[in-house]
Amino acid sequence: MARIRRIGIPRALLYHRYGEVWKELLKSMGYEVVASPRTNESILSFGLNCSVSDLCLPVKVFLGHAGMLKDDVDALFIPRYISVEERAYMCPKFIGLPDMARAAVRNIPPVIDPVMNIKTGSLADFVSDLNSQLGIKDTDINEQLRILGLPVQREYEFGSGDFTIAITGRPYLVFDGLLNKGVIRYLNSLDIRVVYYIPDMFSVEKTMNSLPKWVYWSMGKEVVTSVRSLLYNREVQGIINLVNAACGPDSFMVELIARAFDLSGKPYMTITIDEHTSDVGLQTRLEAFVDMALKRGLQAEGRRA
Amino acid sequence: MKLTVPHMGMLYMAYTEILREHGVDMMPPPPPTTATLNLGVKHSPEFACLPFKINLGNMIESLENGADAILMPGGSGPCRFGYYGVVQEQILRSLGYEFAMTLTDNPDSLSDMVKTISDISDIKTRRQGYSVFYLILMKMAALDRVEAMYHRIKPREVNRGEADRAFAEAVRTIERATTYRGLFSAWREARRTLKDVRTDRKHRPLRVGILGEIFVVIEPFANMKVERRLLDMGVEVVRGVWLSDWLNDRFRFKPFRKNQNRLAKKWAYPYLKYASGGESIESVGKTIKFSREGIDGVIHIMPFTCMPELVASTIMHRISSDFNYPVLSLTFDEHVSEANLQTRLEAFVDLLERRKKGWKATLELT
Repeated sequence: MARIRRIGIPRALLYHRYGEVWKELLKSMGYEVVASPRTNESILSFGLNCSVSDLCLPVKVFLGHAGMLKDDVDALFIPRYISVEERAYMCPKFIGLPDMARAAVRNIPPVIDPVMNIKTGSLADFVSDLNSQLGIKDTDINEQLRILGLPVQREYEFGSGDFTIAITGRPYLVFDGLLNKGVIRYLNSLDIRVVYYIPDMFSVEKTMNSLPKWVYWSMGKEVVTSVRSLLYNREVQGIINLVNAACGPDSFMVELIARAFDLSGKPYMTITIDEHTSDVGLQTRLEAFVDMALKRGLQAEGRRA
Repeated sequence: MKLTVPHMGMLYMAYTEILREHGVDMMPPPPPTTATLNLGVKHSPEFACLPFKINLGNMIESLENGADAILMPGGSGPCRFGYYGVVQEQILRSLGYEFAMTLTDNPDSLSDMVKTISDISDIKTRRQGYSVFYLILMKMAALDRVEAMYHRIKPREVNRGEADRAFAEAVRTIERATTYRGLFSAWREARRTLKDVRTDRKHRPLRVGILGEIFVVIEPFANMKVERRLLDMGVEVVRGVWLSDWLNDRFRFKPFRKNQNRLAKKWAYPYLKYASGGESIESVGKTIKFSREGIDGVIHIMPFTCMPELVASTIMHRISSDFNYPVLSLTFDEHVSEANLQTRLEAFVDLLERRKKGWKATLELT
């Protein structure tokens, strides 16, 4: 195998959560790190062309990103996320992601796929797997572990305004400008502040205990918990849940949210996104939602006065 | 207490009679029909997978018929199956049904399963619990063996319809058995019934492997009788996933049958290095295995939006082009039409026939 100098990271899926950490980690090991450009139409169409039709859109987009990078780098960094915490898995597609990329994208450079399995292993296993795949011996993994332990940003705020709407959903939908169909941009243009929170472990545990059975997908847990805690958040006047069509875990999570929680207290809307969603229809729905939330906010103020 | 368990292929035949012997008032749901599916679809989340919808339909029909307890296996991921019971219970409660729901948390754990069985029946000792549980497993294995024999005999039968009658009788014989001794003699009798079918031993039919998500493969209603359609076309069906294998991988009741999951892992390694839930590793591994064994083609069956099988499906496309091996991927949900399915199957079988004869023969024909 030729010596690896440039490593590419597709800017899709969990890049939107751990991307900065991966970059930092690989840079500290002396590699040049390239991330693919932000999702655009050509990436999308590449992804659509090389994947099975039933796959969910974020994974198709991921394959598109991998395809964009393939001629530009010596290796691709696609970790195999089996579980990122105890008592929870990732969606099966994350477990098979490196293999899917190898199978779907032709002429793909070597894929570095260290196994992230916190359920039965540890972060140290992940690091040593990474080192052995890159052919690095006798290094001190403490520095690498320190970088992996760096905190990720947990609270995001877009735009400003008196009126706040919270957005929930998977990070790779919310932060991808093409996949979220410009929902955040559009809300900002209406002078609305948009917030996104990653719930902390304590509230996750509290929410899970209120359910008949713990949810065993990390991302699903997060979505359910953030909707529940936002329902009690005074600052937020409405909640929009972004879901991509044909998402396995979220098909159940949406149902769970609707049935297990009392949603009457706050305007709540689920937006399902696929490659066909039209922007115009979406804007009408958003306007209607905002109008309703505004009206409700005014009524509440009137009652308080 | 009238207990009901949603359908999964022939599984209900394995436990119904045995549990009745032990004082459980079993009430299996009526066989799934389009009405069942429609009921399930009406109340299910939009993107839930097909097994969820059929199971929910089963439950509603049973509750309407007077059942008041439901047993639903669970699990802990990463496939959606483990969370079925929770969502189904919420849906049924919101529809206003009164019932008790038992969720077995971990279908991989022997003691959990035995405890579940002891809880619902009058079985007192642990020893008896294990004995009953293993009897159910053995019965399931016998049923699967009979079906495998039927798949082999049917395309070779001389008198049309004889194999079907023999199969139905063999299944009935085994279904009645409630003890180890009875099961053994029933199995011998069933085997004799099937062996008595007159077959053409020289005939070499096309052989098609069936792989995919286990529920959709073993439940004929869910896959619109794909196997039956193939058998009727004179094709031998080689099924790669069996419920008894799945159980055997976990509970080791057939000492001479190798752990299929572990084998599949070995075969699949160049393409899929980790089992990503469900039957993904079996699908990938056995496609490679079947291509080496000279089986003419593979049909991959999965429910729409099935997460593990989509991983497998992506990889199987690649295997198909790498090995020059025909793979047909069929996705099932409530919208699949029978005519469409039949056409695709016929086209696939035609393609396999041509490949088998070789392109030269085909060129001469045209």
